Amino acid sequence: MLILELLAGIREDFSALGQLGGPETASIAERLSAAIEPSLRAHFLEAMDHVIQEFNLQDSVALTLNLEGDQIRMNRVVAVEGNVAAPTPSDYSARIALRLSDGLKEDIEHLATDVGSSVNSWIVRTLERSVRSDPTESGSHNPRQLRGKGRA
Amino acid sequence: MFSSTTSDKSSGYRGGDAVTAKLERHEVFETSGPGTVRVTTASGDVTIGASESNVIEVTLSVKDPSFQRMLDEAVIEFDRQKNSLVVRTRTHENFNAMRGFKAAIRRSPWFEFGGSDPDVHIALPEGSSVEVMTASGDTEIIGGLAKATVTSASGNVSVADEVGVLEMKTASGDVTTATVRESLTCHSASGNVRCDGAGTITKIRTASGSVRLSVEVPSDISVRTVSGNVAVSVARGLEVDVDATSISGRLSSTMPLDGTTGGSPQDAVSISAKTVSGDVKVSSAS
Repeated sequence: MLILELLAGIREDFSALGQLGGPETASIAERLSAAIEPSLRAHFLEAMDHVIQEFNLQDSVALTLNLEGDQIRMNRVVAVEGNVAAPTPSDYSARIALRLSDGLKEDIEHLATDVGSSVNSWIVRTLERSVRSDPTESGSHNPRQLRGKGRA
Repeated sequence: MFSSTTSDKSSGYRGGDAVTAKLERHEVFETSGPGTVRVTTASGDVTIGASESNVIEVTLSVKDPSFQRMLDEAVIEFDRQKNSLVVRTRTHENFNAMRGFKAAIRRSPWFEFGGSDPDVHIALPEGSSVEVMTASGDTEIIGGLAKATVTSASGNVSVADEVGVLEMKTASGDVTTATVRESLTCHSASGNVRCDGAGTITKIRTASGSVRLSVEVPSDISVRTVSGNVAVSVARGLEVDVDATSISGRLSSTMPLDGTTGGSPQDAVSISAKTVSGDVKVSSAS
């Protein structure tokens, strides 16, 4: 998505409205539309940020917003678990029987398929992340939350 | 009292005729104390200097003699009753008279007019308030002001001395500021933000710009970025209350955050930072 195209559309609409009030208003609108462009750009990016943050709070597949010049792109975050040793076949000897809703089961199957994983592997990875994460941990690598009180 | 001068600081020889061009326009106004100043420019740099005085001095300057008409066409209006000064380096008329103005607006991703605007230098009493709107010109503020508001597209903003309230909006310009006593509000797209003394309230929103803050007093800090990194350095001995989240960025603190300080919230530095992919780092000042 090109931000410039979006802003140009808004500017044209604004200028067209200004022309309704005569040449002087049109001139003012023309200048205002140019002057407000940086603010529009900032607000647009902020809105995109809010959308993505809300999406990421509700969905287990995280998105990121990348700016390349005037181009804005959304990308999925691929989990990198470099500090987690790959489990050997013998690590999978334990079993837990789960009872869950059909809807949740379908969601899990879709999410596992999306990342090219088996349902079992996806559930194990998700559980591993939950078990290892500590919201109050400080100085750790890549936690999603850093919360707590201290003294500098 | 009012005085106005123009200085002829350029002369040349063109086609047999001596050409003298003025490069500066200088006006002085007496004030009854701190006032308000509003500057609007496109490409000219703006310098604001506050000192112990009871006058406002405005100097407009151009580097190229071919732009000297911009000095005369610029608007400088002082309202003695309100202690209020308005400076516009482009009037309504010459704004529209520019050839290709609309086409340039459409072509350009930003607010760009060709770099011919005069630079603006204003000396004013300490404790005054200023509002600057610029497209590509840089803004530099020196001396103590009560409040400064700067809106910039690509121009950088530099505040060298302590200011009470600072409000910034910039697209790609960088913001660098000394201590902000009361509140700092900054919206930026890709510009970086650096504050060497965050005050009571700090609120910063950027997309890809990085944020670097130093905190020496209890304060309330809120930072939101998309891909920009956030670094907050807190003076030793201050209590901190951190709430940072990121989707894919790295979060870290050089101090333990185990909640054992026991101080009142008013005496703490409250840090709320949210990013999508930017890193967040909270550290003790060295």
